[in-house]
Amino acid sequence: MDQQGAGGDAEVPAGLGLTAAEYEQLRSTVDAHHRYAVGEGQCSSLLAQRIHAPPEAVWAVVRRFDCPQVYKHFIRSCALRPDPEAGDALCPGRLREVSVISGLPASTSTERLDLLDDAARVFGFSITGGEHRLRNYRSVTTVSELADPAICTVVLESYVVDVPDGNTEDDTRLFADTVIRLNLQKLKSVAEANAAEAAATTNSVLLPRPAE
Amino acid sequence: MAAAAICVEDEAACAAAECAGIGNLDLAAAGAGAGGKRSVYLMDCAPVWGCASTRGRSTEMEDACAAAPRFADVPVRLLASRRDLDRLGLDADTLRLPAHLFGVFDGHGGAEVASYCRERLQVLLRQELRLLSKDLGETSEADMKEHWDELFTRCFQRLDDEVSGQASRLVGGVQETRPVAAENVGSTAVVAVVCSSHVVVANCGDSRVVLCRGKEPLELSIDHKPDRKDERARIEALGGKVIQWNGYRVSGILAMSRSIGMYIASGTKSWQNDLFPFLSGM
Repeated sequence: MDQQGAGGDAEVPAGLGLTAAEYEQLRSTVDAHHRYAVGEGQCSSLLAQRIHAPPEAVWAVVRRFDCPQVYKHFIRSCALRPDPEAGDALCPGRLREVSVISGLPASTSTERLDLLDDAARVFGFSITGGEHRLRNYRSVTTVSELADPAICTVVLESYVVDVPDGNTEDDTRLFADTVIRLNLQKLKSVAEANAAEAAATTNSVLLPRPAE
Repeated sequence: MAAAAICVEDEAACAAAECAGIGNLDLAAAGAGAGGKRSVYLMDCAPVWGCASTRGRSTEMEDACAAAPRFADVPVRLLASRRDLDRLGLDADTLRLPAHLFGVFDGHGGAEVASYCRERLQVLLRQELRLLSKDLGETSEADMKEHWDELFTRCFQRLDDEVSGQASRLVGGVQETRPVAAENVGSTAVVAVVCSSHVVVANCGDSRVVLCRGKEPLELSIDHKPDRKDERARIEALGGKVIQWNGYRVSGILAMSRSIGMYIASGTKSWQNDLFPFLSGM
């Protein structure tokens, strides 16, 4: 069952925090990358984050499959699994081993890079193992530029996951959405700080040299 | 008497602090009152303590424990009413009891906050106790508890503010305002102030103080667990939610309902310590 319903004039999903005009600009991205065939015993969700930084600056952080702790919380360490054929390249099929900080209901997570499209700015990964309660978790993150009313970047992140035994869809969505929302807020902070720093550097280079 | 603290989150991690009371009667002061009556307020309370800890199932040690014998003097008016003290012939205005501090800080997400609390809490508490002596006036039993409550609340609040960078702290002689650690690092804080007449316990989080007297253990603190009825109500009133996700957790993430630091997961920095003054049976 398609949670978002068939095409046509779907309204802005509740809780997304985007205006109708903004959502309209993102519709094709949502249709292409954030739709899931949600089976029985599964749930799905879509979250959005506005970021006042160029989309390429945001994408540079999002695409780091090897270094998610730059913008994700709760990560103690992350190591790419060695791949003799790929070397250092980030390409679909790549695996990473994430270890989680203490105090949380998870300790490790094995994750597979599913999508890395630099042209379309689409990033996708799935969780294939580890000690946690998120089974068959699959996620896609897109970085889009909005032009109206003001230029800004919007990151959309969506996922589909099994509902664990003993929990409800709402429980599962609460847990996953909370973690993702916190990560997107940190992504905003990191990307905006990077952009501000880059702008400062550019300005200092462009300033005319004082006459001697 | 003995005070033992157990970190619930790491079953095998524990810190034991013991304090044995030794009689050392001040005859002159006691003599002024009822004939030869021994006063618990004049007993010496020599600290005899030990500490043991292990990281348990964790991959790293993130706990810290503090033992500070004779760290401060407690104005006796915080422990007894003027009327009772007068009846015993004790000087309610000047008598101060030596006190010892024991604390356990179970870090989560990292050890930085727990380590900071271990060093800092006793400094803050000492300052508060020093300031308090000027302010006691006529103190009833209910007022005593209120004073302790306010005292610990100010200390814990200050700790939390310094940890998050909202209050400055001195580092190497310089005022520092950066956070002690990232916002997903935090710690429990359970402390016991021990003197000859009282054990005063304050708690934030889910570490625990247990009194062992003879063979009977007695809980002196109550865990801040998200599924505690009053804690759950407080969390939900603030817009949060508690679900069972490997135990009851705030938003499925944090397994305790109050914490020093780790404000990211709870979404709010509201907290308050529980205070349990306990009169020894001496």
